[in-house]
Amino acid sequence: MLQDAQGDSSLSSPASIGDPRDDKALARATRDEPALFGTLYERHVATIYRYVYYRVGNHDDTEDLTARVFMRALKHIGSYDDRGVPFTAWLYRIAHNVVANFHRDNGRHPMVSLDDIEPRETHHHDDADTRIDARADRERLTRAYHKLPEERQQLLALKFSQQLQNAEVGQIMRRSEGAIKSLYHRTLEQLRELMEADR
Amino acid sequence: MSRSAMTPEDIAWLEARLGEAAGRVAPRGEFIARTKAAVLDGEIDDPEASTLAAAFVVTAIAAGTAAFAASVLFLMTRRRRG
Repeated sequence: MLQDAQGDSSLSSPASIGDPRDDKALARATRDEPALFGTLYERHVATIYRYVYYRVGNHDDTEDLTARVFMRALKHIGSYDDRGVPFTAWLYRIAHNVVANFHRDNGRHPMVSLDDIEPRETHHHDDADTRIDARADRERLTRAYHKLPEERQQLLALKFSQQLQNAEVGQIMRRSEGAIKSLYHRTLEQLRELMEADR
Repeated sequence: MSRSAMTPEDIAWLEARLGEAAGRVAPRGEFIARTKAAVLDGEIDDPEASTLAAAFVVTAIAAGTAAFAASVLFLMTRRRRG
């Protein structure tokens, strides 16, 4: 799956998110000049794509849903309330809703795929048994991930596909930093239990 | 199913696997350009609006059916009494 991944690497780094105050100014200006939305799109398309991919697991659906996220964002840009909410948090909430609708319409069947992704490390020195074990672990992790409640899947996607800190995740999920920390620990425990039960 | 407390090693192992899953996923350049144009031109099909419209129609039909049933029941009750 990774071999298919292409794109502009400058857009794929979380560091490219940019100054959030600038995002807000652009979002406000977009209300009068919709073409300015193109800049916001270019700035955030890679991060939203990565988040959606983590949630649905294949490039075809990820492309459709990512496009839908930005279409909806442009449509509702007039209702974006910048009081204390970064533009990115607003965008992630839209992405979450789009993905949740997608899973609801598809009967919440796991789209699988985390197990289609080869790990970054190469295994030149691993023996075949180790590789098979690693593959089995990834498959169990994928199944366990898709059995988690919606908000726990969202939490893991935000933390691992975007490398966001608990405080940032809290802004998106409307929870305190402490609540996210606690939820994260419970999520890992549940993930481990689901994987144990799947042995 | 294990109910033992998670060790730092357990957490590190899970976090490493979850991190691997994120990988280096990135959108295709062609997708970025094509979608930007489509979004700005309003050409993306978003079922949000159609879903709302469908929900409105279903609600209207349900309300109409309920009103009709209530009217029939009311008339039948009046006839029996009359």
